[in-house]
Amino acid sequence: MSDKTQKKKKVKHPFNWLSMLMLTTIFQLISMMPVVFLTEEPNVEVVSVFGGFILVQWLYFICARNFASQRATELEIIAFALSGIGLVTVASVKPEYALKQFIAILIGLAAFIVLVAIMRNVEVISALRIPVAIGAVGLLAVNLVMAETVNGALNWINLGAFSIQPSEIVKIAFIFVGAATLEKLQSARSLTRYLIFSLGCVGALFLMRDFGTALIFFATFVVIAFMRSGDIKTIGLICTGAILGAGLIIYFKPYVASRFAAYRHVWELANEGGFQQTRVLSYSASGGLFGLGIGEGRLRHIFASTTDLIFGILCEEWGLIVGFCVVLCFAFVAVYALRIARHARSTVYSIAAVAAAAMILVQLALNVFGVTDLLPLTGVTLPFVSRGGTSMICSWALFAFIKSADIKTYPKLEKQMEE
Amino acid sequence: MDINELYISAVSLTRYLLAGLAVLITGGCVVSLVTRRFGSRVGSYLVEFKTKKRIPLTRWENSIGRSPTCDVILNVATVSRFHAVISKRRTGWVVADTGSRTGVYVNGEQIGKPVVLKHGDKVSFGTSVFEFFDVDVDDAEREAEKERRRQAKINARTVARADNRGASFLPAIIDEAGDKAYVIGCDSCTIGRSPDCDIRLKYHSLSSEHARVSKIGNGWYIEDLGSTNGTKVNARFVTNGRRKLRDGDIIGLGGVIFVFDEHYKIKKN
Repeated sequence: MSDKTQKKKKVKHPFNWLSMLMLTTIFQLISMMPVVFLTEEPNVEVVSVFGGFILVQWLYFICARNFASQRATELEIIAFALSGIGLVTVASVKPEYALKQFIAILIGLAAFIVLVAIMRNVEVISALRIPVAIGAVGLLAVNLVMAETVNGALNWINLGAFSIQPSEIVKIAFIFVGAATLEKLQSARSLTRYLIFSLGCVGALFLMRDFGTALIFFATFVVIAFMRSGDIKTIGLICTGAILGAGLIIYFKPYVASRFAAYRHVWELANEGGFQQTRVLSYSASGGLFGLGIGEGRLRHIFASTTDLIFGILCEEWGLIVGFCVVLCFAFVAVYALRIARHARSTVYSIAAVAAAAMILVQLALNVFGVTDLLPLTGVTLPFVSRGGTSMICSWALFAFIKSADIKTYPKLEKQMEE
Repeated sequence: MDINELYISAVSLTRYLLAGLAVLITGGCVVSLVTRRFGSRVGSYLVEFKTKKRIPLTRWENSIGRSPTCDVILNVATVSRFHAVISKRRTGWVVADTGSRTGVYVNGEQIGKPVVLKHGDKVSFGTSVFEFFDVDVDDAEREAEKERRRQAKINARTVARADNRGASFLPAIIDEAGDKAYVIGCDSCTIGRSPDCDIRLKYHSLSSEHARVSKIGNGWYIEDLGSTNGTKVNARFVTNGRRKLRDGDIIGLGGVIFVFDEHYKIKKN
């Protein structure tokens, strides 16, 4: 009898959120200590940002638990743990970064909550599809006209105190528009409009010379196209076309290829094109399993260490184990997205979850394999961990897509459906 | 030990602690994510018309076609690879043709735009014909039928007990209300709407030659004679061959309910 009730309870509360949250908080407190005591006097701003972060985290979980009756909060634990790692690393490199990163996490969390709420209703998603698509294309167009070239890519809009990267916001719209198909499922013809939208996005990214993001968009497009049409032939055709197109661009515009000249030749060009990669490889190797300790590494002095190369810092200062855990978290979030897609109530959620997972995985692969020279270095961020406001918001939003695929996210809706 | 040394040993301790905690957090989340079970709810059924095989539709959008990637795979030559989609919308269940060659028919009419399906509608994709059952309606109907069956049994018993004297026993089918009994007078009785039948029942939902009740050995058997609306025994379709009848069985002939009484007592004379 007691055994049975225990089993029932286990199914009802599959995730012990409180103990996980406490573990995460302890992890964060320990990792914050060296940063706070790094300087002679503790930096007040950094200390308050860290305190604020932990407070927000607890507030979120208590509210989600008590007011929204959220039972399964693994995704949020992972998101907060990763954001915390990023926040600490960024603050340890430059204390001035901490506040901006914290604000980005707050906006990201807000975006997460809003998007989960929007995704509740299929009709709302369907109604928002076209405005969102137009907005996304418009944003990219504005970006092409207004943007400044930073590090070879033309994708920053400067708004005085801060600058935004529209391509990151368009990522959210890209999945949203791709998933919001209701009536025109599984016909190759229904893809045409989405294909035009995607071509617009990828083309604009190419013009901005942001090849990494263009590749992420393309990979996500292939996943969405397959899930919408189930037609392998059409997708094969599109892929062949894309490869041909990319080949033509490289042939006629040699400067594109020259950006990837260092790929597989980093040690020959160790002080030119392969500067960052060789540093990441040798410094992260010196970190070993347990790392040198936060703030003790040398990679932090290399250019773009907190954005593109942050995985290197993780390996060097936090150790290979932590770096591996970060990658593992993303990998299993993707596995979870695949599993939930098979049981999602509507195709909209299946597509959104799988596409978001694909986007995260591709970005992770481009970042991690890019800095370790297994893939060309394209300068994409590591989701949640890298410094960067728009990237952080996008990462939270992508998790929202996966979260909304689970009917348990909406307890009221679940009850309604059971009745 | 001076403060500097203490600091260094504390830093090295945190390195191990951090790695251990990271493994714990990752492990906890990953195990929970991977072992999570999801339930799925059947929203409606497609019942294959000939074989009465039930195909559950568990999602809000169910693709139907010959392709192995479809939710409902129909391996029939006349079905396109991606034939149609049945989806749940606020208006109810909707069927849409997704550019099939042979078309989608609802109750015999080809559809152009998506059409709302009602419980019991006949849907055909190419040459495969299905009946559509909405689970919500179906559940309510099954409850009602259960109640009707219970009532019918009570009524039949009352009729049977009414008069015992000078009676002989013959099998009969008694209608739902219990006020009319049709005696099966021969060893092979046909039932139907046609005047040629041994038992003539004037219900519109019956076919002209609907079913046959026959005696084989000591038992009574029922078989369907290719009726349009089918024959049920205890709410199960009689598909091919005969079904043995037992006393008190509920026979559904095209939706009209009868009770089989093997020893129906009739007055002599």
